[in-house]
Amino acid sequence: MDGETPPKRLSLALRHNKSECFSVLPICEPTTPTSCVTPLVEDEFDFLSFDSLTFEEHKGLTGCHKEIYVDELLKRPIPNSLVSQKSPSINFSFSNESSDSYEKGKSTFPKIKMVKRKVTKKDYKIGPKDKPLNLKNLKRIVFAEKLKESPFRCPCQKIEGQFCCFNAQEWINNLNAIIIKKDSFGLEIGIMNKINIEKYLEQKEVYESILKSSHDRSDSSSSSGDSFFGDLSKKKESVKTQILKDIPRTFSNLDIFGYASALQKLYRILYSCFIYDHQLGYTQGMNMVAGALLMHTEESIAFWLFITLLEDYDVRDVFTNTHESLKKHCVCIEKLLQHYHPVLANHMKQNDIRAEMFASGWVLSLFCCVIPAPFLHSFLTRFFKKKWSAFYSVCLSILAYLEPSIMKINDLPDFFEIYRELKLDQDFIKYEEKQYVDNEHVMDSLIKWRRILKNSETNYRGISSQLKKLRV
Amino acid sequence: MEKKKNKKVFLKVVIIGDSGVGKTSLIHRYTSTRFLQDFKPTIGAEFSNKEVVINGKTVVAQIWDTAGQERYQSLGISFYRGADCCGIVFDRSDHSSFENLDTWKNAFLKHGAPKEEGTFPFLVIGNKSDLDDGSLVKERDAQQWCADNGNLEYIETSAKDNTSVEEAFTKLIEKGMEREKVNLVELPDRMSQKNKTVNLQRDVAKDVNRKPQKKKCC
Repeated sequence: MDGETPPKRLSLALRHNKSECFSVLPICEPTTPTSCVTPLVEDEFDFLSFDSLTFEEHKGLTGCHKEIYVDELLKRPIPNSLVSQKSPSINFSFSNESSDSYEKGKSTFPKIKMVKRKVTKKDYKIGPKDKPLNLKNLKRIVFAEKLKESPFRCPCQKIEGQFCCFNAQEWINNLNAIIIKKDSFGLEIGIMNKINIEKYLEQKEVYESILKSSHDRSDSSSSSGDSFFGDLSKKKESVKTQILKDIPRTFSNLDIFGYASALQKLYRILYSCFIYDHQLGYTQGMNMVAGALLMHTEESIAFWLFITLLEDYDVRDVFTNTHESLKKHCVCIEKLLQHYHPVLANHMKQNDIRAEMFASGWVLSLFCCVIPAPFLHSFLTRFFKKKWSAFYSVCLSILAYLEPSIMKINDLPDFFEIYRELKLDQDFIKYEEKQYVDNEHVMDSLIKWRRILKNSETNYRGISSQLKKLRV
Repeated sequence: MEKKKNKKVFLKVVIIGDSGVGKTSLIHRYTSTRFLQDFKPTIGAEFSNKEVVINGKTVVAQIWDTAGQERYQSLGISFYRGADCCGIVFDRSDHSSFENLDTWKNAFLKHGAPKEEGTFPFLVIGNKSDLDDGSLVKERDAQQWCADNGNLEYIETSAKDNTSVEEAFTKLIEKGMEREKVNLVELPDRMSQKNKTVNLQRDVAKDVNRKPQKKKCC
C-alpha cells in the first residue's frame, strides 16, 4: 500500500427514493468543500469505468433508509430492468484483494476492484441460499446525484443577489443581538454584529474555519493519545454515527431533501455545530430544526441562524443531556392551557393526558417535526420575533383546534389517534404545490394548518404578559 | 360506554432500543400493516393503539414508541412508567445495538421503576432479519444474552418482510396480561370506578417515584 496516493475517503449511503431508485450520497469529511467532491458515478454504467475504488467501511447509516455497502452492492445480481433495457453483456464483479490486511482500527480499507465481464447465470444465484431470488423485487440502482448545482431551494420569493429567500431574510432582520462567538476551547473565533447579509462572506469564512478546525483537531487527537482528545474523538465518532443515521430521515418526504448535496450540507451544519459546542453534542431533533432553516437559506447562514437559536433563544437547554428546560416548557403549556382553555385543560387532566406526553416532540424539534413544510417558515419567523411565547401560542392553538375531538375522548388511546393524525400531516404535505391541488385530504390539512397558525397569532396576543404572571 | 368499562383491558406496551433499529417500523407494520421506507427519527415519543383479542379478551394495547438516541433515556421517567411490558429491539445487522441491550434494560428498570424488577415482562426483538448476509447477530448469542438476563424470551423479526411481527407483539401483549393477572388483581373493580388503567399505573408510579417526581416538578 505504501507509495500509493492516499485513497479518497468516501462513504456511500444509498438513499431510497419513492421512485424505487437509489441515489448515492457521498459523505466526506466535512472539511471537503462540496465542490471538491468528485461526482462518483454518472450512472450505473459509468460506475464500471472505475478500475478500482477505495471505500471507507461505514456502519453509520442504518435505519429506515436502505443502505448498501459497496461490496454488498456489487454482490447483488443485476436488476431485471437494467438487464432488459441495456446491454446485457456488461456486469461487474468484485474482488476484495486487501481483505486480509483490513483489520478493525487500522486505517486501511477494503479495496474493491471492478472488472467488466459477461453476465452468466451464476450472477443471479448470489444471495441468501435458501431464498430464491425474485428479480422483480430488486431495486434498480441509479447513481443520480452529480453534485453540480444544487436544485435545493425553497419555492419562496427570492431577492436578487441574496443568499437566502424572502422569509429567511425576515428571520435575520429579527436578530439584533451582538454575537461574539467562542468555541468550546474558549477561543474567540469570530465577532459579528448580527447575522448580516452584507457581511455574508465574512461569516461564511468563519463557518468554514470551524469546519476546518474540526479536521485539525481530529488529527492531533489521533497522534497525541492525550486522554482529553481521546474522549473527544470517541464522542466525535458517536456524534458522527448518530448524525449519519438521522440525516437521511430528515424531511425525507420533501423532494428538496432528496438530493445528496442537501443532505451533505445538513451533515456539515450539524457536525460543525458539534465542533462549535462540544458540550452540547448532537441530539435528535436538531436535524429537523437545522433542516428547516436550510430549506430557506444558504449553508453558512443556516448554520449561524441555528447557533443563534441555540444560544440566544434558549433552545440549547432543550437539547442538553438532561433536557433541562423540557419540563419547564411542559409546565408552561399546561398552565397556559388552564388559563386560556380551562374546560379543555380539565378534561385532559381527567384523562391523564400530560403535556410531557404530547408536547415533548414539539419542544424537542421546535415544531419542525409537526408543522408541514409550507408553514414552517411562518412559524419560525414568529419564533425569531417572539421567542417561546410564539411557540406556546401555537401549542395552544393546536389544542384549541383539536378541542371538539379531544372533548369526546374518554381514554388515553383515543387521544393517541388524534395525536397521530396531526403528526401525519407533515408527511402528506409536500412543498411543491402542484402535487397536492387535487388531493382532498391534503387540501383539508392545509386549511387546518393555515387556521391553526392564524389563530395562534390572533387569539393569544397577551401571552407573554400572561406568561410572566404565571411564572411568578 | 358501559361495555367499555368491563370488557376491555388496557395495556401499556413500551418499545425501546437503539436509534435506527426499526422500532417505529415494527410498530407501524403491526398497527397499520404497512412498511414505510421514508421515516423520520422519533423525537420524544409517539403513540399508537391496537385492539386485539387475546384469550377471549379484548385488549387495547397502547404502544409507546420511544426515541432511540441514548440521551433520550433521561426522559424515560415520563415515558416508561406504568408500562405493563417492554420490548427491547436491536438491529441484527448492527452488533453495537445488540451490545446495548444491557443499557436499555437497565435504563428501563431505573427510569420506569416497575414493581417487580426481576420478573418484569421483557421481550427481546432482533429486527432486520431480512438483511441476512451471514454477519447478523446469531440467534445463539441473542438467546444466551436472554438466558443470562433472567430468562427473557427472544424473537427474530423483519418489519420489512413482515416476518414474525404480529407474533412478537402478541407475545408481548400476552406477557403484559399475565403480569396484570398476578399483580393487579383488583383491576376490574378499579376500572369500573375510574374507567381506565392509567390511573392505576399512576398509583404504581406514585408509590415508587414520589420523591423524584416532586423534585422534577418544582
